[in-house]
Amino acid sequence: MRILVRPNEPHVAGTPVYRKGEHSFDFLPAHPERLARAERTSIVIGTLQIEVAIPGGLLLFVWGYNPSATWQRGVVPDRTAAVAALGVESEEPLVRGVSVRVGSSPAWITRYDPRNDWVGVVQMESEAEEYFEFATGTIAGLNHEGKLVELLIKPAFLD
Amino acid sequence: VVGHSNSLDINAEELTFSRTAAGHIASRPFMSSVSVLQMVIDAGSPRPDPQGAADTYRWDVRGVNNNSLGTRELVVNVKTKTVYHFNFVSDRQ
Repeated sequence: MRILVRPNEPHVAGTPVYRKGEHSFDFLPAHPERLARAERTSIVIGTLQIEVAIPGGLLLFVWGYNPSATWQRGVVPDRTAAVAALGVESEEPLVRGVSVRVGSSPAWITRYDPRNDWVGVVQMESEAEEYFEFATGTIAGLNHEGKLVELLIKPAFLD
Repeated sequence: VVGHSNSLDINAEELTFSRTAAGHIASRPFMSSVSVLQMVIDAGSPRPDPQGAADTYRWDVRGVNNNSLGTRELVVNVKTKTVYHFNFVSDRQ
């Protein structure tokens, strides 16, 4: 699974949030009417989901269960990221309601940096070469093969 | 459905979805099916949520959705009867 820049598509505007009482990320789109609701799936890191539009594979936003109890406190650097739409390139067609796991090995960990409130979901032993903000406050880090190895989220924390 | 006993005595009809999960049901028809939810509860052996949330259990049940083989994942707070996570993940990567 590779992630590619979509130069002719807009990135998704809105607000990422973390609902502490639900242990979950969500995204409040600025223009929900622009997001086709019926045809979607997701690529997943554990129980965290990156919503994907079908067809086309455009990455929309991040949501899903990710208890802060598992987060490691540590440094999540402020990354300089190009604002760009991203799409997923998959060998098999995306299917509504059928999520596809981003490579699970090496393992992923979640870090929280209290200095800047960034949450980093990072694949161990991997290094991102490029960073793209595909939705407001949501950055994908890609390695030299175009594989997702980091997901950075700066949510508003809600009770 | 013949499967493991529903050791936590959970009834799908009593469950509600978290606000987050509820907001994504429209694009995932299986989430709104009480029968699918109950099937997962009855067919799987729940374990304390490996991600550590209190009062929360997780089920992983093999299945098929839209002709794809995979796993139905369910995470429920059994105290508040709230579904935090319900997803179908394909075997392919």
